[in-house]
Amino acid sequence: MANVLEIKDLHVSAGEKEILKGISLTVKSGEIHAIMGPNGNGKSTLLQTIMGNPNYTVTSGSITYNGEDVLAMPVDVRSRKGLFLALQYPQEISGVTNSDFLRAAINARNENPVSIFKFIKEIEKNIRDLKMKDDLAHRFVNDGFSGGEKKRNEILQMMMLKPDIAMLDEIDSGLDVDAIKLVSDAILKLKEETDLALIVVSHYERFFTSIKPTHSHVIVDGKIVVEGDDELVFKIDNDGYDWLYEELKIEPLKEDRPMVYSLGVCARNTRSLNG
Amino acid sequence: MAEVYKDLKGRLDLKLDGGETVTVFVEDDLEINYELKNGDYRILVFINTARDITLKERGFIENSNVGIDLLELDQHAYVQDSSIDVLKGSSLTVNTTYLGVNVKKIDYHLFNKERDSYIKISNNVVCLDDADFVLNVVGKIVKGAKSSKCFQKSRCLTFESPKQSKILPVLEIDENDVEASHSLSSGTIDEDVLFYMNSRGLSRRDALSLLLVSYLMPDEEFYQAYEEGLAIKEIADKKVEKICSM
Repeated sequence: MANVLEIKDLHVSAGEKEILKGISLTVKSGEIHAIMGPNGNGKSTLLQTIMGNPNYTVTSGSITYNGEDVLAMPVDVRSRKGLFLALQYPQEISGVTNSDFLRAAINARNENPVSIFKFIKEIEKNIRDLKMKDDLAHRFVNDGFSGGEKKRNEILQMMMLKPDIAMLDEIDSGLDVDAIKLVSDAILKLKEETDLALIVVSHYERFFTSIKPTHSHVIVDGKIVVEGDDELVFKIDNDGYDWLYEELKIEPLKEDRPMVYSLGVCARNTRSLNG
Repeated sequence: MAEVYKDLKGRLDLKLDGGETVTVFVEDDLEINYELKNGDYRILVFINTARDITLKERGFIENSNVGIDLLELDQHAYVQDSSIDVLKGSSLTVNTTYLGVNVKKIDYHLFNKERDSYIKISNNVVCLDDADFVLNVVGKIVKGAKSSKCFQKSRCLTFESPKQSKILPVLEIDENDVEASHSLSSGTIDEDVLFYMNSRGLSRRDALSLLLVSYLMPDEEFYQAYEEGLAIKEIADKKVEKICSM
């Protein structure tokens, strides 16, 4: 039976600010959904909310997974049900090795602990496939990793945990051309083996060309303003978003960035670098 | 040579010449006196008590490279007073792990006593609720100990609200031509890290246990280095398991 993630009229706030303003989206096994849109308009918030990040509050709407209320589930239960989020900025966990972390995560979703032999065989194979360093299993999770290594490590975790629905938040940023190919090959291989569904946030056509989305959505100001297939991805890559703003008479939200101040010499020339 | 000392009470004199691996089980009040000469030494001090105890360490290191590991995971009150001199051309590396529960007061005084001496101390601490924990680490490079090095690193993970969790890294430097540093990181578990771990399927409890183990438990290689290392690992595992289930 196909897995179905269904999001209906989702409104989400961070603090006082409403970020998502009525998102509806249905994702089924085997589908690849590309999520695009300008920065700061709600793409990452959507993925974080599906996974249950406590920094975001769902004010109305629903998310169900195979008919079950996702919003009522703690984060770890969502993961064990088959949801996976590859983060844009993965956390570092000093002192916990990748091997211990992944084994604990696999054991958390199985009734019987995974055999060490099977685990080692599988992690070593995946490390080889992703062309990561041999000692990765014994290194602390993301500790001292480069940006690209962290992204590949997210994919390694996905391959080991074998989710039903994987959400990838700008997983291609920080990866060079060869690494993008490796990562997209790994994703497609897992999809072929498990009928994985994907929700992918990216700004780059190159990545979408590799994984070939079946659906695409553009989020502007917390709403999906246009949907299509992979043609839409390529149109946006060629033409940008301006045609969309004109056609739909909408304005994107400007990304909130913390103000950076320079005190200058003796604090006399205080100015904002962001204008 | 690998020596194991057990069932000790009162005083242990470790007057060694030529290098050795030593395991000391501390089960009662004890004073260890080190006179370590002319070799490489690795010493594990494993605190394994059924009551409140005091450990005192004194001594010196001469013409030797010494590593001292100290593992203290008990739930009883604990007092430690350690003072070790490192003489010309010798090195001392100390790695400690403490569980902050009950009342624990630890004082380290490590002296670069002569020139070209090297000291490095790393402390890992986990402080649980109601802990009253104080760790003073004083590294002193004395006048005349030219070209000496003294490095300190401490990290402390606190849970909820310990009564007191105080780590004081101190460097006293009376010589110019030296290298020295100290660092301390202390704090509660980052909620973003917990979210990350939860998002991989680990419950809050499992995630906290994994983090706690990472702070408290040395790696396999550590145990393999010592005679009876596996037996110690078994005891340490049980202690940590008990903490995780609290």
